[in-house]
Amino acid sequence: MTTRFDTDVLIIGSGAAGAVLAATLSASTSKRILLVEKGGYFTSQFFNQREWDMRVLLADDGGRSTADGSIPVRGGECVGGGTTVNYALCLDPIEIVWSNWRRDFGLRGFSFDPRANDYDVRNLNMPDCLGDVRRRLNIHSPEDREINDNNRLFESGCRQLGIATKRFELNMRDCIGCGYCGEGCAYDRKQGTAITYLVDALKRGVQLVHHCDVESLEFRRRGSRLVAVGAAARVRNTRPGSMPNSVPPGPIRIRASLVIVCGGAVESPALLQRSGHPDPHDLLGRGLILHPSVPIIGLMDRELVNYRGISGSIYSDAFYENEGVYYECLFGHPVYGSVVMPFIGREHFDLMRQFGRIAGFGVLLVDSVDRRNRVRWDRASEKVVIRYSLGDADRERLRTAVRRGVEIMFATGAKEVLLPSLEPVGPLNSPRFRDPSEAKHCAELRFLPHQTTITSSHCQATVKMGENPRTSTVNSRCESHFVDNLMVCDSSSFPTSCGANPMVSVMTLARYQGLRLASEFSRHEG
Amino acid sequence: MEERFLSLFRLEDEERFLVVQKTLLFFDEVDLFPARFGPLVDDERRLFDASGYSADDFARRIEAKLREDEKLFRAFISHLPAASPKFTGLSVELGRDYLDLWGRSQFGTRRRFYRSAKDLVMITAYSRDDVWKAIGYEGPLLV
Repeated sequence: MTTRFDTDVLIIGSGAAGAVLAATLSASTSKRILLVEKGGYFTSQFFNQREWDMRVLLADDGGRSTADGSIPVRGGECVGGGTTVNYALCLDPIEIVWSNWRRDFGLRGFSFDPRANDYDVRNLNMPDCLGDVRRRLNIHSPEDREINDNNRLFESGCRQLGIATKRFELNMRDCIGCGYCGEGCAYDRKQGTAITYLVDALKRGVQLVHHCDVESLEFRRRGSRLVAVGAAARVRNTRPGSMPNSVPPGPIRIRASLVIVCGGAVESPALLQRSGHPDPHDLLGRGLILHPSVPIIGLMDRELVNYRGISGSIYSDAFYENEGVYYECLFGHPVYGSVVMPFIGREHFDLMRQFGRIAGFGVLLVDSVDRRNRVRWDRASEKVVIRYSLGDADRERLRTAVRRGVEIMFATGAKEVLLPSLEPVGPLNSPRFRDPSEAKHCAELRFLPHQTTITSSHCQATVKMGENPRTSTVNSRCESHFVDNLMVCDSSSFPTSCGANPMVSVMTLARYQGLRLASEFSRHEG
Repeated sequence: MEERFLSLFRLEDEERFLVVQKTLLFFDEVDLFPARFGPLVDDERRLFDASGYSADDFARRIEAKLREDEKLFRAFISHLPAASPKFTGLSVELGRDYLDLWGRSQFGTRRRFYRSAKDLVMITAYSRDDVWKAIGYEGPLLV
């Protein structure tokens, strides 16, 4: 039997954008809001700190990757989305990036002047919205005692080479330092949307349906325009460990005055494509950004605190402006570590046996927009296909950045430095360096798929914002250029990379659009 | 057929490892030395012509990659005890060396196979508490 909903606002996705929008709209309006989420509703009671078990929090059970299988494309697929499975790393929106978007894509609003009243809405500006987000998530710098050995080593290596570092800000409250942010916080200390904005929204009457696959958006023709009127979806059986659902499994039909898609940079364009959203200039899903990253592995001669404590607390953006590169300190647990560690058999195990002596951080490339990199809904297989390859210029920047990463790791005192790669470089059979002078061989890295492990986690820019319908899909209000009463508001809305870990930028965007929408809702009525 | 395979080879009793188990079984059916790349058949040539790529260029590139792979595999072949053995007939060391060659192949498909097999084995192994103990990993704080 089909379950039917009649609502004012349908929000698709409960992650960094969807939950913030639901909370903001429910606080500022009396509209009926339905929030649907593809993944399950897992809470801290379920999070058991085991990587394998916690794969249910991830898209495709952690198996999502580019079409050739070479780059894992990690993403949260559960209530809270990426904010449930990320490492709580908070970087504010970068003003120059948004200024460039205004210049290059004609974006309106998004003022960084705290006195601005964008769209004639009182106090609607980026600093105010960011401030709201920062307060709700308790974003703050960790104290000295919270910096673990791995982060301290990274900091000291950078210092040796004269590279400036910064302390990450984190959305945590009284963290106990267990080291399992990425597996869902079992203590509710990480302030993801599932325990912040979503709780606010539910208290105010927002209805949540999880395990919900939105099959397609429904459009009607009104005069010469298409109008979104709802969605067809299907609720799956609730997975073991999830909270119970509010509707039984089966098909659902939703009628809504306004549909807001917040599925992230992979799911959002795929949903629009399979719904037949007009795409006259072949833009949907194109220009995917995913911040390709290469882990740098160091073997130290002493035991470290690496997998306990806050995983990421130190980073360097010293090369962001000129090279578009970040160095971010993070550390994984054995499943992730064993997959990233090069080699197999005895050689691999001998490295894993030194798990307590391994230091690690990542090189993160802010990649360029390339139309060939895209997300596409494949009708035949009914699956999302992600195509991505590094362009020549990005490849060159990554080589330089990895070389510097190897030098930083040696400067920490590492006796050996490894890359997750089997590529022969210089006289070496693989990039397993025993002397800093060997770092120069990184210039020969080709980053061959399946030979060098590149990771990713920050998908963006697949349903781009802009005022020109020939070069963008949604306008500065995140409204579709082609379908009325349809918004796309998440990391896919960014025209290019937002220049950093995107969570706080996405939340700020959602807060901004939520406040704007609350005073402009009449645009979607009647 | 699936049942027959599973009855032959028991890796784990736990259902969650079933995918790994099946993958390893099918892996055993892979020939050690795939056939060489033959000349393009007419259909392939037509496909290339239609796509604007040069079929002859493609064939030349494939041959060059095959020659590189041959160099890679030659030393290994000379150590093999008998002609055309199956993977499971090899010693652990030879099996590892052979897999390693796939990881270093010029062909993305071979490298992908290496990577997939490695990932499956590693994920399975390093999800286990007894393996954690062997590497000195204390595991979750929650009990």
